[in-house]
Amino acid sequence: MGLQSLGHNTITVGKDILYAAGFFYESLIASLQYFRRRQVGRRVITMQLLFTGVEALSVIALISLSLGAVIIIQGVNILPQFGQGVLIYKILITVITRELGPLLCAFVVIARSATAIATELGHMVVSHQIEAYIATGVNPIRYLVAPRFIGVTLSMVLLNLYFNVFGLVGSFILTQFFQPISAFEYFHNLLIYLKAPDIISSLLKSLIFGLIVSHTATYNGLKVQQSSTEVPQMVIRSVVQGFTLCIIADAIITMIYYI
Amino acid sequence: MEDPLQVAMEGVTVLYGERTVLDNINLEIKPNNTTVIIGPSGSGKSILLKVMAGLVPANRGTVKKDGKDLVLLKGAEENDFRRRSGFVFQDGALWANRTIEQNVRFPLEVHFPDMEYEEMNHRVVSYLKEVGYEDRLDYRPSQISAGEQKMVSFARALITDPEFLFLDTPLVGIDTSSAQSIQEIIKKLHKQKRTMVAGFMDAELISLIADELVVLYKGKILAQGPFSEVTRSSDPAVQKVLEIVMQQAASYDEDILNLLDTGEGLF
Repeated sequence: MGLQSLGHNTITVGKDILYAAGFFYESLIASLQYFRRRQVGRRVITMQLLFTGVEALSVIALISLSLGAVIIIQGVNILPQFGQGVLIYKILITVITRELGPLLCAFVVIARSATAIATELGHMVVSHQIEAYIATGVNPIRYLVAPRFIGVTLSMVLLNLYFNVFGLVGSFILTQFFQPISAFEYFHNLLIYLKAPDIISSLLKSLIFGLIVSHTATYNGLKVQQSSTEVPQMVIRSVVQGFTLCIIADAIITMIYYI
Repeated sequence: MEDPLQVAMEGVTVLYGERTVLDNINLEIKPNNTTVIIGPSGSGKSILLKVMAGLVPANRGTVKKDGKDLVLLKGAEENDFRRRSGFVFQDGALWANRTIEQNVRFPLEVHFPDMEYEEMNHRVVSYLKEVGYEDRLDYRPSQISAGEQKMVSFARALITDPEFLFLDTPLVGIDTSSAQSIQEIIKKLHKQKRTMVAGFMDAELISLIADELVVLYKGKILAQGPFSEVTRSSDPAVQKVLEIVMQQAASYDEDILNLLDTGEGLF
């Protein structure tokens, strides 16, 4: 009986993974072909960029400034004791640009946008609005998923860039309160330690996190079947899956960076 | 002049987990006829309509449009089917983030993108007027009644002038006045010889417009054929379903009339 249950669960999980992979493939193709099609919802993509990107700017600025402040305060107090004060720049780049920057942006986007997207799509399934689109001749993946895919991914990349600017530039401003340093010296030292692989790693992470977050949100939203009580369950699932997959992807990309 | 759409279901079975919702359905819809599907609540009428319209996939069997599997239709062929068919959902299924006017306009934008804006406007207004909905075009669906949503849903389904219509219990859950308006619309569509497949409970309307009758019970077709033949079937199972359906429709009206007469049971 236990073996039967294990087998059944394995098959169910396997089917789910295959279905999710197929959905991702369809969404990616639809997104790549998006602007070529007449039947486009440009308004949707604009609204998505506004909601996911623009409206998150203040939160991202606050988080990146705070993170920069913490690194500066800790670094300025601890590192000179070991004669390694100059390592502060490497730490800033590692933490803000390569690691926590993309991850924290992903967490903000998951909390704000993934939940909203999964909820909206889930409710559309329950109220048969998705079926109404199909009956009208509209492919829901092309019309509803693709603009969200593009909007969230693009927002993630731009928010990450914004996070970096605020984090690194903001840290300079905060440094003035502890160990005043000229702007030239600060940015000169920063650029010595900021390498192309750091930037590529950061951009790659933000791109992949954007794809992960948009996929888990749209996939789980559309997985709602019949009842409105399933909607919060699928929203929670999209959040947990988003967090987990982003952290796993982060670990993999970090390992590749050090190869 | 296009050939009429031919739609047929062959061996269609739909499963929800372990439960069989539709069991080996074989049904061919006659063009220019009204096929009414009757059955007690939960017999599978809505699912049958949705599978036939290609909105819900079947676990087994095929739905064919002009001899071709509906699921395999792509591009222009699929668009052609969608343009020539309209679906009226049981609960309207209007798009919540669009106004009434945008809801009805959208199918025109999809199928006739080169239509002039003024012509689209004119068509939207005239179709809404035809179904009895005239003002508040800038309202959202949540701001109008269930009956009005149903009427707007009709206008949306009819806006591309489809020859094939799917009507999913359009008279359920609405007030008497809206129900009467919708009945008039359905009678008019029947006179226009559009192909209609409908799930109804209204005995009077069924007797007026049904050319073909399909009796559905627990996901299985018990009988199908011309209305006069099916209603005279000597099969006790068919008679039982007809009795259940007519009683369900009748008892609702009776209960309401009793309540209004005596005032009992009102709050």
